[in-house]
Amino acid sequence: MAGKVDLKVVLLGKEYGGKTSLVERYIHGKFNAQAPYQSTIGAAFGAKKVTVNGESVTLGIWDTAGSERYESMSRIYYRGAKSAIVCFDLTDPSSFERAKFWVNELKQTEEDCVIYLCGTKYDLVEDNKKARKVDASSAKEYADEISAKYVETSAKTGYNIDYLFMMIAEDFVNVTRNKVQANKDEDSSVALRLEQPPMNREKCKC
Amino acid sequence: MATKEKVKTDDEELSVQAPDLSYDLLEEEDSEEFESVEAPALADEDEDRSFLPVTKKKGRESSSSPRIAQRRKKLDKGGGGGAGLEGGGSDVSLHEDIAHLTTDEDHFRNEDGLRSDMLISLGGPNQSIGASLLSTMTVGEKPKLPDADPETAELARRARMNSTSKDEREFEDEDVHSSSWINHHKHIFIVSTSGKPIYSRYGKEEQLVSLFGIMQALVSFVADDKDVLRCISAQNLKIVFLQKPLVVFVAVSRSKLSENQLKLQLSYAYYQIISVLTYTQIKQIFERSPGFDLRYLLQGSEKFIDNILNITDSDPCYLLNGIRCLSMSPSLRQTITSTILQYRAKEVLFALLIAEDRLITFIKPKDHNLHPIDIHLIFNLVMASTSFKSAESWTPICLPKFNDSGFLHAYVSYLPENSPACLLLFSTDKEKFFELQQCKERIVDKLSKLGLLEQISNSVDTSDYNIDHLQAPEIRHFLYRSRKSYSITSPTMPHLYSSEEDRLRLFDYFMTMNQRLHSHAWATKILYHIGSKEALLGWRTSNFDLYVVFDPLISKAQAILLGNKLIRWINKEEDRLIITSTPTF
Repeated sequence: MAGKVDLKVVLLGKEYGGKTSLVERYIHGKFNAQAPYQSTIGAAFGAKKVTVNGESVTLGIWDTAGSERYESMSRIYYRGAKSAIVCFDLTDPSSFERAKFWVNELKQTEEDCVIYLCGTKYDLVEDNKKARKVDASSAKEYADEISAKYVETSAKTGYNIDYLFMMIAEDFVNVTRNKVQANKDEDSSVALRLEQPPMNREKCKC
Repeated sequence: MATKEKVKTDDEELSVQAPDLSYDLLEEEDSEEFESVEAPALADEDEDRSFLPVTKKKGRESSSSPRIAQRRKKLDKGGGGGAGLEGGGSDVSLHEDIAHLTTDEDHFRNEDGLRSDMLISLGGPNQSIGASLLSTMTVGEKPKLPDADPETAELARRARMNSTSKDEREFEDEDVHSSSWINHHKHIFIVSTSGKPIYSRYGKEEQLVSLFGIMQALVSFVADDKDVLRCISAQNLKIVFLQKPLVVFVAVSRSKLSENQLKLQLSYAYYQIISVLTYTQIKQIFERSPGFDLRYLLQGSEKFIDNILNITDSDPCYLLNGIRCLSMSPSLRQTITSTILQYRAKEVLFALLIAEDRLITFIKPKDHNLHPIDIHLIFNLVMASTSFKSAESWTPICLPKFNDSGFLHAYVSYLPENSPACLLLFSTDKEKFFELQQCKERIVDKLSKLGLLEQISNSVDTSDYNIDHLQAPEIRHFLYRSRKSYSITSPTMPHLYSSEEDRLRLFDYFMTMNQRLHSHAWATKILYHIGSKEALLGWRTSNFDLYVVFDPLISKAQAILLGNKLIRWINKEEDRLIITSTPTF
């Protein structure tokens, strides 16, 4: 897949937060529940082409290592990223704190990066409310505060995975288009990010 | 040395007139005997020559890394031949390496009768500390060290190792007071010089805090006298210490490995940590806060340490300082190599193509070298991790022998079509992912056009070979190491050795012979050993090391005849069996 990448997407978050599974599910459409946990070393790269409104967009997805050992090196992975998926594990409150760290990091260094806050392992909390350690409303609240979108996903069931990446691609296309539009209109105000009502949204019980 | 066997060492031909034994060392337990045919104490040939050349001038012992050799030289200055062993019919078992609490100044020989108890060469206080370390090892158990068949425990461990997934640390939760914990064949501990636990091969470090404290106390007690603690021997237990700046590595072993071999194994653990963190980073961290818990940074990489210890316990290549090569048609190897060379991006520092733990080919710049230990760490990275199979990776890795102060960045990707071959391109620049990605695409395109992708996969599938065509059924197995290229080849293990027990015995034999052939104090050129289950020939020349396993009933004359036949065949097939030269750019 060496080729032009239109949109650099980076996944950040605490280790064991399900980033690799998320990417694996999206790119290869598979989830292996039997596979033992495998920590990512450095970062893995995957690319996928999607079509938004007849326009083809290549997503270059960087799945980074969550381990703090690589923290100082993460910058090389998120530099220039147009979108970032900051993941946390819905069953692990410390991962939510870690997500906040990454958000701050991004806000400071990559102002133009659009952030998507993503609660992972939804399948674990879907039927078992007790397992949920990060509650949806406070996550949503935090997302609003940082003007990010909030999604809960499950790589196991595939829930909201395609939706998440499609949303990222659509936002990107819309933003670029808006920018073009904005340049035409010589309107330098902040580009409106028109949000289409998400199709899957109502399915989400959060 | 009354030997009647004449050995022309350099033209690699052995001749035997009368197999009159000369220099016997008897191992009392099983009356096995080793005969060394040539006079000992020959200076080892210079191993510095090219291919995987080492960056520094090596010490004499080719079996260990230069750094260790250097260190050992230093250590040996005070006490004479550190790991020497007197032969000539003493009851010292061949593979044992002396040194009961051997320190720089105090050097103890393993004298008759002294093996039944722990020997302490320094004064009283040491003795009590040493004893307490030993008794801690048996905490909650009978005071006597359990010698309950460690071999069986080791076999069970290896069996478990094969059956469980690589990625779970299977012994992490083991109860450190259980007898199974105590009976492990080989414990490995890593502790910072300030006494903070860093790693334990078995059990949780938190549960072993007092044990770590004792290790640290032992080391610093001896250090107070401006001395270095190297080894404590007690009965069948060897406790070996490897001291690196700021970190101490400890092996508590019931295996037959010598002190130096255990040190080399500990060095692998050390280099593995460096490869994850770099030496510079460790130094900075500990200088800033000596009490830092390094486990915090090593999180997730313990499995790499586990894995390198498991491999060095079972694959002889690692401690023999050689790289296992994939046997393949020389023309195919040649084409692959030249393709990689031709399409190499200027950002590429090293490029390797490997299939699991076997090297297919690699290229390097003229002025830089890749040490076998670095290649082993690369093998370990790829083998201990399955995540490379699913995506292209951009991975920071420090190759300690190349440069222990910083990371190289490796583009890691398996060849397409589910190929078992994995391509690694190294760059010093962390920004060059896409350049290396394109470089790989170009290489793959070309290989694909030439129809070589399939051929590579086939070669990996068919690389195992046997030596049936030699029509020498007495030869069961061999291991050949080119001293010029550090390449190793050996045929498929015969069915006779399908049990772990047999493999373990063979592994121990190889290690023992290696020790005999290379330890400079009494190095021999040819060894012949008759055991109860097999006979072995060890042969060292300036060009190669050869270890051959024979049927036990073979005569020595016949073994030498077959050894010659085998080496002629290997020489003829060398280009196919191993990598004989490294292309540079």
